Amino acid sequence: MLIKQMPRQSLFWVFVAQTIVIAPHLTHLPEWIILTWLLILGWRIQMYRGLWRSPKPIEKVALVALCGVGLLFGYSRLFALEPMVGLLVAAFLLKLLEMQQRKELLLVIFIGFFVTATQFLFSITLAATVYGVISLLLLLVALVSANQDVRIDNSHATVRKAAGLMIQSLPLMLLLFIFIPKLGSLWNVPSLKNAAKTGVSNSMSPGDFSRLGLSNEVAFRVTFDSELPRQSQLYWRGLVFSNFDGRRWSPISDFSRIQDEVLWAVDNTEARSNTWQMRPIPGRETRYQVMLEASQQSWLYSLPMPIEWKGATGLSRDMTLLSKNPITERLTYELVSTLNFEFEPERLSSLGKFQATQLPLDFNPKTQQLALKWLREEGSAKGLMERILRLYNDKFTYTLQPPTLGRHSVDEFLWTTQQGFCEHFASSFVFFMRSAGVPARVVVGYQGGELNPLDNYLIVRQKDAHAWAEVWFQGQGWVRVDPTAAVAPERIEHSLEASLSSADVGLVGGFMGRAGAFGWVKHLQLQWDASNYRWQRWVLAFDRNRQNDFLKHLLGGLQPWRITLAFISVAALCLAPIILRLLWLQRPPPLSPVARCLLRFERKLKKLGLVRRKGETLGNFATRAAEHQPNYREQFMLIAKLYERVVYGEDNAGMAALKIRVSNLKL
Amino acid sequence: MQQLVTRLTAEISKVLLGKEPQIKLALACLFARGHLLIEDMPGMGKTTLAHALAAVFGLSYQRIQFTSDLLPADILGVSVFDRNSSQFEFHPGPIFSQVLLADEINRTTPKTQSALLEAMEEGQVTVEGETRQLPQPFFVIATQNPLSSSGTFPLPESQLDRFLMRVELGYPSPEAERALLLGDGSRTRLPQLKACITKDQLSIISMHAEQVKISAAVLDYLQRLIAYTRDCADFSMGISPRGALALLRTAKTWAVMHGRKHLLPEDIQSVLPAVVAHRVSEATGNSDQSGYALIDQLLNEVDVMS
Repeated sequence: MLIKQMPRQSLFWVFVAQTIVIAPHLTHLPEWIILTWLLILGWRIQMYRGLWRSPKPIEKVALVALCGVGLLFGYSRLFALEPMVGLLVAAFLLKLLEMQQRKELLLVIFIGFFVTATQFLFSITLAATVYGVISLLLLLVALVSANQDVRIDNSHATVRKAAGLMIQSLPLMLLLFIFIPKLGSLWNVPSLKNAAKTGVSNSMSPGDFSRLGLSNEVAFRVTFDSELPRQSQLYWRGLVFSNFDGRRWSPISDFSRIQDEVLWAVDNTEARSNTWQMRPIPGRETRYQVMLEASQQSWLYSLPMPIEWKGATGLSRDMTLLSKNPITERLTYELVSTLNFEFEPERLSSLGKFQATQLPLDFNPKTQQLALKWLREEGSAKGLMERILRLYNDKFTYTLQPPTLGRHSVDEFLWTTQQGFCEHFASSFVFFMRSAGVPARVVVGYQGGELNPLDNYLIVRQKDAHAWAEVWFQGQGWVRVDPTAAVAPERIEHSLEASLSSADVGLVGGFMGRAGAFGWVKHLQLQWDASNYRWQRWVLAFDRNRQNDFLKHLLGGLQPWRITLAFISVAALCLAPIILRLLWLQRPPPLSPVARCLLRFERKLKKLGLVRRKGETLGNFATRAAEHQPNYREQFMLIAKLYERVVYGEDNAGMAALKIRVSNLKL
Repeated sequence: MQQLVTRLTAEISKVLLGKEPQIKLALACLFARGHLLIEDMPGMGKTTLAHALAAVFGLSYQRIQFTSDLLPADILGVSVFDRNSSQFEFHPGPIFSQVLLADEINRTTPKTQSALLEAMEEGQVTVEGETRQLPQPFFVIATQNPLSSSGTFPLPESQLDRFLMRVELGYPSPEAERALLLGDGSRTRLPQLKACITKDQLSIISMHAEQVKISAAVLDYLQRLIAYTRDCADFSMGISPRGALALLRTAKTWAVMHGRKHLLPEDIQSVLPAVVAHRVSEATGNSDQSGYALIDQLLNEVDVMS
């Protein structure tokens, strides 16, 4: 029977479901849609309570027009993700107010499923997924109650039924997840969302890194296949800055030019080894997977020196790992690095040498003079380096809140304030070395990371952002020198927190970082991060390539017949328990011993053509049989008597006798 | 017990030849403290059976011949002004007896038929606002002609339901008929019938019937029967809970009459036509109230064992 009326119970669930479904969109919906939502929800609830009337056609038209105008002019661009979702949400709302009949109610619920799906365009974290599942459940509850009898008012049963439906569909969900071809960026609609992200940027000026130190956001996570290298070895190399304008460090003037000189494939190892002088020394290779959060930048982080990489990744001349496209969504890449290597040990090209020694002329005169003086006193670049590092160690303070610096920033830092964060040390160190004519450059990236013992992976956060230096020596090539290590070795050996004064520690990582000071909060954070990371690695990272690899591995090939066969057999496996359960429930009840005796007796008599009629009692049947077979009269009658005694007299003492009589009956 | 039954049956058979099964059913009905309706064509011995039953039970009885102009007061009694005492004095009607023989009950109007309702269900009558108890035990043994005969008012279902049993007598067998034809008028022997059972024996039978063991298997069968009458499309009306209780009560009495301490499906099957036939009706609208075709179907279609 087709119900036309809207079940009240269902209406209630639709209110709940709609609220839950729209809530995650609140962050990007314009205010006027939220106001409309409140207005419509209030109106509809008043209608539900029977206090207000339903909207007149003219009011409906006005609402639609208003929403249309809002959508047309409320967004900076019409063809983008947000306005489209706004349109869907507006339709969802207006339909809620308009619906009168059951079929319209169903329509609202179906739009709800769509809106739930759009939620994943904005976030695909584990939390968002859990939330999506809850939304789905509520919509299902609304759907179930919409199909129930109007008189049924048992919300427990309704929720149970919906949950049951959902659980039953889980195997199918899994199956489709594994087998349905991944279509890639089907949703590649431009988003209005500002892509601003915290993280290492493509230039460095004083204060940049100390600001990053305040952020607890995750930059990337790393899983090592083999043993974790020592904390002090974990220099996640990002960009190389050779250009200094007196205040700001940046990559060599034309960044895009570097990209012309990028090795996109690994097979050219010979050329790399000879022309680029990147020479791995065997013995300390390590393989690891990095899952990089969206950085909106196109460089990647690696332990120097990467020797194997895959996909749309390449290595530039200055050993920066680059991606072909900006990282706009989470990216997982696998690398092999060797920790022992030589980089340009033989000679530096004249251009390279120029780049690694250029200085802005009219800046920091004191440093420039002193560097030359010290070089004369020490006699060698190595000696000069040791002296300046000694100076750092003796006089300098490592702090997140350094004093601000003026025009001659290096001069002021080195000879006056002597308090700073990593960028101050790296910057001043490189400037000093260059002043003495020693090739040096700034390298930025991350240092260290926190091991999540629950899943044995490394979490590298924004507060781990770091800047250090590389100095070139004849015969040795580029050597990593970390002046911060000279001031605050704890920063390198342990973590940022360990190296700071107690006043500074309070600033690290913002609120979440501070909450982590409590043991159990820390544990929860790690637990949550581990779940998220697993979710990322095993679910979200399952893209087309992984799917192909997985299916190939599983089925031994990717021919359509294999996939079809596997799909059908797995589906059958999923359905089998349900069918078996149904069959099991329909099985005939087990026969009691008496019933078995009766069956046996009847079978024996059947051979003589004597069949008990449905409405015939055993006594009557025995009498009839006795008339047919007078020889067995006594036996038949006795069996009937015993049966009556056992079944109707409920006297089990006769059971054994009945059994014997029936089995001894030979016809 | 069986001897008692045999003796009673034999006694009644003196006046009603060859009707042992019906006599036994009628006995079961009275043992189960139920009212009995005897239905058949005129001249089949209905009244004789009723008389004989009353006689062998040794109970006081009154007989009313129901006619179309009979009024409730004729049954229940009436208050008459007594000139001497200057008061109204109640003159109890024939209903104030242990056995009421309601002869040809369906010849009277529904109004008068209904006068019996309270008496049959509760053992009391209310006349002129005063409730009066009837003597105990109180049985109504009614006879009626089949509905097809002219000048009858069919008993309403509510009234029929009050009768525990409806028995049909049918034509006598050739031998019985011959004996009847040869013998002297059996009616004349009616006054000679002796009371064979005391009031105490009657209560003992009731007590025994209470104690009859009802096994799960037989209850299952009973419930299957009831469910069949309610679910099967051929029935327009299934057995009511009152009907089901009546069936069980009669079957238990039947078991006691056969000297058993537990109930058998046969007991139910034996009393079922008499107890149930007047309580069910066919869906086809065939309103002769006989219901026997349905009962046959019921007994044949419902499995006894499972």
